Amino acid sequence: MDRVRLLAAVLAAVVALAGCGAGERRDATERGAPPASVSAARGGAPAAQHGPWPVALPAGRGPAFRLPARGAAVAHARAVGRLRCLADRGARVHAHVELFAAGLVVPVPPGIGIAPPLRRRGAYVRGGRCSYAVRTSEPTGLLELRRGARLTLGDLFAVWGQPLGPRRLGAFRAPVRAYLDGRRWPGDPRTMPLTRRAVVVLEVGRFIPPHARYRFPPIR
Amino acid sequence: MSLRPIAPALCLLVATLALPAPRALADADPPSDVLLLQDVYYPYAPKVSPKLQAQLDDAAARARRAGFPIKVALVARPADLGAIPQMFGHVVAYANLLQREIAYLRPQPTLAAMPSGFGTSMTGPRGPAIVRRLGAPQTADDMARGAITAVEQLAAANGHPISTAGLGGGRSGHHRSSTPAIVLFAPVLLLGLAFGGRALLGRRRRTGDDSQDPHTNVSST
Repeated sequence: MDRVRLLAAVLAAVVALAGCGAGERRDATERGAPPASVSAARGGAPAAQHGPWPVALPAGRGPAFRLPARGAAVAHARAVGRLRCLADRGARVHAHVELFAAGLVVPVPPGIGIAPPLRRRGAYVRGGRCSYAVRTSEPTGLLELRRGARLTLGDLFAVWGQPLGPRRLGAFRAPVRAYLDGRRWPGDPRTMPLTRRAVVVLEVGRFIPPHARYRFPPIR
Repeated sequence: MSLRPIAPALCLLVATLALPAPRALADADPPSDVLLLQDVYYPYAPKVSPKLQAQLDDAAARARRAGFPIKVALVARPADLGAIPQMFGHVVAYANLLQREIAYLRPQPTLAAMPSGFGTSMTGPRGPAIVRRLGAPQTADDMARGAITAVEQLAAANGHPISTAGLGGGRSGHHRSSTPAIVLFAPVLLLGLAFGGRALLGRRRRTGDDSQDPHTNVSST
């Protein structure tokens, strides 16, 4: 009996110590603790005092991670399903989408849903010939949705000209995990509704804890 | 009381508690996406004046051409940080995070600005002192002015001085006069010291009072 107690206590202590050790490594390397070369004027409080910091996750390199902003239909301003390219200047609302593959970011390009010729300014697209009910004007994953339009994630990818399905995300072929506002979306990701302030995360490969909230900028 | 029946459950509980909690992962901060395509991120609101934007873009481009490709993020409000607004006000940690998000193959010099101050990552040993002198910007335009000064000084401190021609027109406040004053007065000061030293040396030689001047003693032997 004593041996069982002793074994349980030792095992518990070993596991607890291992966990503590992992936490210390994380503090030093991942949680944003600044290295010696990092400097600040003010406001740089130690990470440990403010809870866990996010972990840096770089964008992937190579063609599979650098998707073009438009397909053939948008290039010629043709209808994409029931969505038409309109020269509208009406109000838009925001949603946000993030894509991950193999543990890396797949950038969402600016200019999705905007027909050429595009007016570019640096990383931003300021306009074009016409635009669809879902579009992007910056490379941040911020979606601009035509107010009142009933849109789905499938509409975004159709306008984008990229494949999306239960086992396909852009150039990646693997089971796709979809999250809406931090909750797992069951079934086909194409059916997920795109509504005002929706926070969408799509992943293939390594699991990335999805964001549930996003601080949206003011509507331009 | 026997612990045998609950020992496995106890171990599982302890192991579960010891596991690190899931952490939010970055990426959904707009600067990390924008800075992959350009050198400066400007806040959504309030806007930086177009003139200062042009000057800061120019400073970053000059630094890049000089061999110091620094990336600059001006973060005015939590909305500029998207999914990680908890980083607002922690400019050091954010500069470090941002650097790791956008670096590719080698360290990426990075400057971040928030209302609380400026932070740098991978900008060399003098980076901290340089941004410390800038203080806390009061407005988005102050951030841009401070960033222009920081880019110039960080580039110079890392051995890649950039020309400041054409950058001075739009600057204001205490940042305006620091570098030009040094440039103007340093040659005059050096000339004055040279003439003063020569006159003093000549007078001592004339009077023969060399006992207090070790340099003269050395040269006379």
